[in-house]
Amino acid sequence: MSVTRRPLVLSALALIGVGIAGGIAVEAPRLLRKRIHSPYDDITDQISDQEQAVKVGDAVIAKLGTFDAAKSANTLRARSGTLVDMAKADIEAGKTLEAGGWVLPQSLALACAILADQARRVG
Amino acid sequence: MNSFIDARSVPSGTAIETDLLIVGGGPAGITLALALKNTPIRVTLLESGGMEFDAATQALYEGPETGTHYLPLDGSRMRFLGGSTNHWGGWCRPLEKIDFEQRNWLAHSGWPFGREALEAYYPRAQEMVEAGPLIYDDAPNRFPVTTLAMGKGGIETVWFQFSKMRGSVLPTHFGERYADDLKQVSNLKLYTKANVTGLRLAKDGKSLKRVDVATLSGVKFSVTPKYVVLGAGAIENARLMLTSNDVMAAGVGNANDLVGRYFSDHPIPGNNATLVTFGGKLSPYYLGTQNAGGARMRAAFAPTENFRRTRHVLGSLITVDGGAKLDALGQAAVRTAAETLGYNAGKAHAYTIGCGFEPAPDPERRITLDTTRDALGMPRGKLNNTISDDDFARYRATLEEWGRQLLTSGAGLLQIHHATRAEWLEGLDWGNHHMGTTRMHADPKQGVTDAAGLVHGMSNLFVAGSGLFPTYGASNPTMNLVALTLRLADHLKGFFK
Repeated sequence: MSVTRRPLVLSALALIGVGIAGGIAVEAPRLLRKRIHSPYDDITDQISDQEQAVKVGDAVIAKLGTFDAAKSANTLRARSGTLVDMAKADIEAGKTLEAGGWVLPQSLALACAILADQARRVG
Repeated sequence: MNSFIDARSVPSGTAIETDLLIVGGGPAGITLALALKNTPIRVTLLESGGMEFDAATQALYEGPETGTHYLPLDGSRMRFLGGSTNHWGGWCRPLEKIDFEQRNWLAHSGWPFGREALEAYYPRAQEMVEAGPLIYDDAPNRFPVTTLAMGKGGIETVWFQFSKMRGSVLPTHFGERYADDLKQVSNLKLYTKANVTGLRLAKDGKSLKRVDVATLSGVKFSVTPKYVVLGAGAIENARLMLTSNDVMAAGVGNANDLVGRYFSDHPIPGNNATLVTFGGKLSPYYLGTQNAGGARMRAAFAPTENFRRTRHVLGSLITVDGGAKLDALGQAAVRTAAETLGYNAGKAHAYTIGCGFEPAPDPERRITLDTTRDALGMPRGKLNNTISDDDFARYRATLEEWGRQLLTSGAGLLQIHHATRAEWLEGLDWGNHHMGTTRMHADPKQGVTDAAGLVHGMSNLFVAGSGLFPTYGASNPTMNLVALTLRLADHLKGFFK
């Protein structure tokens, strides 16, 4: 039985096409999410969905009353590791901050607040 | 089979002699009467009500209140055979070991004995409340159940069991359930519609000689007992002792101004938090009672003993009350926390959280006598209720730890709803769990009764019920007061050997 190469190649290409389409479908919302750029990108870029995080940050700022983004950023920068590392260390140490009552790691809550503060400025 | 005696049929002026008089036919009184079955002790039980609710009798419970909003005094207890089991929810759970301990960080804490003193009585108490086999926190070893995996921390899953009547009608109303059993106790005479109006002491004030009884129909008679047990409930026991002030001016057993003080109940701040579980729905055991292991079981959350000791918080039993819908902030918080921390919240579910928690003992939360009088001419009981900011703060610290622990384990996220006193007080409910007014303590200056329930300075007057609890725990009091009463029964038997 002879096997022609063309159907195999077409099938492979079709599979690759489906894969790419699927990838785009999954990743597009994330890629198209609004990014807020500020002098604190090194911190805030570690948050994937910044639009959602701004809502959290607004609640954190409301809880704190007054908020200084630069000061909070310096506090976070003085610590070692990524935002995830800091957040996990905060949880272990019991350092939490509430956003509208939601119990969050302090570092993540502050990062959200920086984001919300900067969104107000660019908005 | 004996039948109950309607006190309205007793000729006025009758003087009844008995070995042991039990005042009140609630869970304590009924438990005690049944525990003394087949003993040589002649027992008389006086119950104010009959077999069913009667508005005029219930009105004897009315009384004014001051301080923090509380339930109406005539609406938070029941005055007919079975007492307040006639409106209880059937929730059962033994007190924790720590509930009995004196804690140097908690003023007025400490029972005069440890939990081990009640351990032997819990199995029988469990039978009395008809809550099935003793399972409680051994539930995961008794039947398949998936509890919320929260990892290490200060909060754990704990278990309630529920009282049930024959025919699976919840819960056990002691009067209805045990009426026939009481009628078969040959050494018991049970009077209905019989209200105690006075505890008459000997001239030296050291023993009780006579109890005055009246019916709403106008009959008056007396009982002369060798021993008396007050089992009329924490509020009414205190009221009776304070009212009976003809020999001791401050009232019976009140030389140190303690009777009626330290009243307590379990505050119930409804919808005080929202729980989001990341990994899907909670087991149905958290959301309501389920049949398992021959019992009705329900899971809840509570602070561990270690957390309570190290963080100085009191007991709380945190329940999942139902499903919840997240607002925009809630959705944002879940997404932000889960994505950042690398948790999969794709199956997130939200729930409304309720609880009952333990307040600290407060001598100013107390029952006193009012100037107004009831239909029998007795001064009404008056409640001054309190709850401190520290009480709320301690429960809030428990929730904060729970929120932290959920993040640690990736199990979920918690929103705490209340921050200010006004927020906690809004819609605050209470458990109808009256406790503390005749607290036990070895030192007469710190307690109304000794460890057995004998009123300090008296030779023959005992108290039964949750009024004896010096600290309260978070567990519902009924099965615990039944266990304590069974212990008292053994003690009383010793007097008649």
